Amino acid sequence: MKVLTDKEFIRYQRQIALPEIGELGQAQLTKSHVLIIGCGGLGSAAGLYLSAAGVGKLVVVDDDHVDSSNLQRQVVYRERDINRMKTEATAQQLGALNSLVQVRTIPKRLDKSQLQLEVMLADVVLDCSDNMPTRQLINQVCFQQNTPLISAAAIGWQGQFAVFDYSEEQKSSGCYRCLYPFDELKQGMKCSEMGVVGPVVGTLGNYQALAAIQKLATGKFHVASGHLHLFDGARMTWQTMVINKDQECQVCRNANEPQH
Amino acid sequence: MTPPNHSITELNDATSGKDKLVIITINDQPQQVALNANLQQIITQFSLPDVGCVFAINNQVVPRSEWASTVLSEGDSISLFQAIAGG
Repeated sequence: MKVLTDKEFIRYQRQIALPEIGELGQAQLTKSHVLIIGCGGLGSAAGLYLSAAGVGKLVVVDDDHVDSSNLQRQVVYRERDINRMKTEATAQQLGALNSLVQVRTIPKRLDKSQLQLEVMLADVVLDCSDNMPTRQLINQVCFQQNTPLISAAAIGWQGQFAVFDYSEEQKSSGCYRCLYPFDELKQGMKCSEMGVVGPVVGTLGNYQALAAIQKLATGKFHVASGHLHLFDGARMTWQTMVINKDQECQVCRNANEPQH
Repeated sequence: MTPPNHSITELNDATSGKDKLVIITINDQPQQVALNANLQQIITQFSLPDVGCVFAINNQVVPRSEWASTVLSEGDSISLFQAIAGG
């Protein structure tokens, strides 16, 4: 059975050649739907790689415009994109890279019910956002809908990366809120105040794309779910921590018991 | 200042059971803490930041609700890091 066109086969041959992917894996990617929340440095890197890999449908969400100070790390944008909506400029670049990919834009912040709808449509969700309340909301909705969440963050020389495979039957490991049970960060932890090195945030965005391709093309994550990967961009080392379930977590506590 | 190990052994020998100390590390720095001290007490003892912070012992993240019930043992390694949200 032929699952790909000749054009697709030639275009994606280098990843089809991998035994874990093959033609069937590529066909799976082509049918997949990824929700990317945030079109900054993470979304730039992840979006470019997922478009290049031939993910069938990408939905990009951001309420911001491109600023000249973004260009140092948000590599999907060009100088001519300054002042354009990030979602529109992102969609144009991703479409130019791969016209076989469908890109839909949401140029605003999603409220909870809109986010629930978008997560329902997605096979995996990439959290590329830049603030804690959004991250907590994304986690809650992904957990409730059993949708895999691929989370990353970066600031300064540091990055953090974690996969939460909420599609697993036993959600035995901790969720994002078990790890970070708060809605606000310590003051002064923003990129605008702390600075961020472009390739650090790019590395983390590439990790998100890599994890998404694992899940979509091979059917499972090969990276361990429920682990926090800490990147030190100065020493260029990674450290891994196990995220344990918080028995008092507001999101995932008693998830398998009936609700009262 | 962290005293060298031998002085701590002497200190242990010279005191009764309740004052015993154990050596742990906090972000790779050796520190002495009371025997049976829990994570919350150590955070207080060393005035460690706890807003937006995560603590792991031997690379296992300790959920916030378990800080007060998690007792440290000799040789345990505490990692402290800040949550970040930049994208």
